[in-house]
Order: sequence, then structure tokens, then C-alpha cells
Amino acid sequence: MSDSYSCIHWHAQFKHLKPWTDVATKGLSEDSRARVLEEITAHFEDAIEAGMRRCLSEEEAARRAVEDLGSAWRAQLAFRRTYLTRLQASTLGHLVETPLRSAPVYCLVALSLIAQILYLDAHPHATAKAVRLALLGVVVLSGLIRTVAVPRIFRQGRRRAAVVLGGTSEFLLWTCFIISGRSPVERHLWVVAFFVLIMGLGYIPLAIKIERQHLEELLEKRDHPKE
Amino acid sequence: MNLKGTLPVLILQVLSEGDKYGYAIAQEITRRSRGVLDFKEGSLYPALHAQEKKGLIQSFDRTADGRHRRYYRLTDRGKEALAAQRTEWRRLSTAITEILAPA
Repeated sequence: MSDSYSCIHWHAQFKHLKPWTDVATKGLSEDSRARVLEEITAHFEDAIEAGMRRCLSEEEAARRAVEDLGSAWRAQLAFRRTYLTRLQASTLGHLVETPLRSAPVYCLVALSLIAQILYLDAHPHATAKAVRLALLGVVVLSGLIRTVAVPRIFRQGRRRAAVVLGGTSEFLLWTCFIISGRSPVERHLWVVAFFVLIMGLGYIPLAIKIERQHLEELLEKRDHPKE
Repeated sequence: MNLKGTLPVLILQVLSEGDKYGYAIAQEITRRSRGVLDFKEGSLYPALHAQEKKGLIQSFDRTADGRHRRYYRLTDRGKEALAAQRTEWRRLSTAITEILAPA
């Protein structure tokens, strides 16, 4: 491939293809974005060459190649359904690669509950104290699940279970924090809000995608055992 | 004509005849449909990646004619899925043809 050839294609890519790929890959994780760009760029170059063989100018061939790709917004929606988004990749990284980073948050909530228990000790609030003791137990348990159990379960290959468990432990943490210091009505609203935010928007979509990747690996091994 | 949801089975069919890269798959579908299907090439890659995630096809790198490309091949699971979808399509096609036939 000559330098002039590369230069022509680079110019065409920058002018015609980049606006399309900027939209189509928006929000995808870096790995996913790189993979998509690699394939779309190769496709674009093939399309330009085919166009130039049909006696189109390089400019016209590039314009038509992008036109043939169709809506970048539609492609973006489809890619987001298949690949991890930047936020999901980051959540997964925190969950599996740096689980101890979340430990200080669990410790802070546990300390605030301990402080409340010690404060309540001086007053006749037996029920409230028992509730906070139970909440403290839940926070400690979910902290252990989040920092110790989840990475292990993930490494064992049970990815969906690990993600759902990680999300549940985070949900329980914030639920305990809210329950310990709000009125009953506020508590219910906050619990629902946290469930929707943490599980509904964060961990459950991630768990669905993770399981697909897990299946893919299993099938790969089954179809090509020597690889 | 926009036959929504048919792209995955078209991809499986094209790959059942040999390993191919994205552009070649797109060209083959366009050539065979003779321009009847409203097929946008950008929708090919999300569909390919979705099929790959489901384990129906598998990708691998290959360099040919000095060009580095990602090729796709059909897996055993993909062959089974294609056979099932062909049967389903024939049933549907027969039913629609019978309905549209003049009485």
C-alpha cells in the first residue's frame, strides 16, 4: 500500500467517516469502540475502492460509502444493545478488578450506624437500637460480599451471579444508610428510588450482557476445543 | 422492501457458504437480493456482533492481499439455528403465498 493511497484514504476517513463513527460509537467502552472502528474503517476502505473501480472520484466514492452505511443513530442503538457502554465497563471494573475501593464507603456507613447505636444506648430506644444493630449486620455482610465474594464468583465464571450479587450488596448498603435516618414514608421512597437507579438502570442490564459473553465463551470452547 | 428482523438469518446463510468479512457479506446480500431489500450496511456490524455474542458465529483475524480483516465463520450452534430458521421461513413464506394467491 503506497503512502499516497494511505493519505487519500486518511483524508476521506476524516472528512466523511469520522462524523458517522463519532455518533455510532458514542458511549461505548474503549475496547468495544476500537473493535467497531477497526471493522467500519476496513469496510469504508473496501467501499471506496469498489466505487473508484466503478470510475467514481475518491470524494464521491467516500460520500456514497457513508451513505450506504445508513443511520449512525440507529447503529449506535444497536451497538449499545450488544456491547458494554463506558459506564457498564467502569462498573464492571470496580466490581471485579478494584473491589477494595468500595470498602471505605461500607466502613463509613458501618461507623455511622455504630455511632447511632452508641448514642441510642444512653436512651430508652431498645427497638431502634435493635434495628440499627440489624442494619449494621447487613452492611458488614454486604461489604464482605462486595469486596471478597463477588470477585471470586466472577472469576469462577458465574458472571451474571457476580454482577447481580454486587448490585444487591450496593443496593443494601444505601438502603441501610437511608433507613437508619429517615421518616418511614421517606424510607420507602428512597428504597424504591435506589432500587430503580442501582439495579434497574445499572446492574441488571450489565448482568444480561455479561451472561451473553459467558455463553459465547462456553460455545467457543465447545465448537473449537483445540483453540 | 424492509424485512425487519431478517438480517441475522441472511448473515447465517451467507456464512454457511464460507468464511467472509463484513464488506463481502454486505456485497453478497445486496447482490443476491438484487436491490429489492432495503439494506443499510451500517446495520450489518451490530447484527454480526449480536450473532457472535449469541455464539452463532465466530470472528477471527486474517490477512489477505496485504489487508488485515476480521472474518466470520458459522459455528455448529449457528448451523443448527440456520436450519431451524430456514424451516420456519419456508412455513411462513408458503402461508403468505397461499393467502396472496387469487382465490
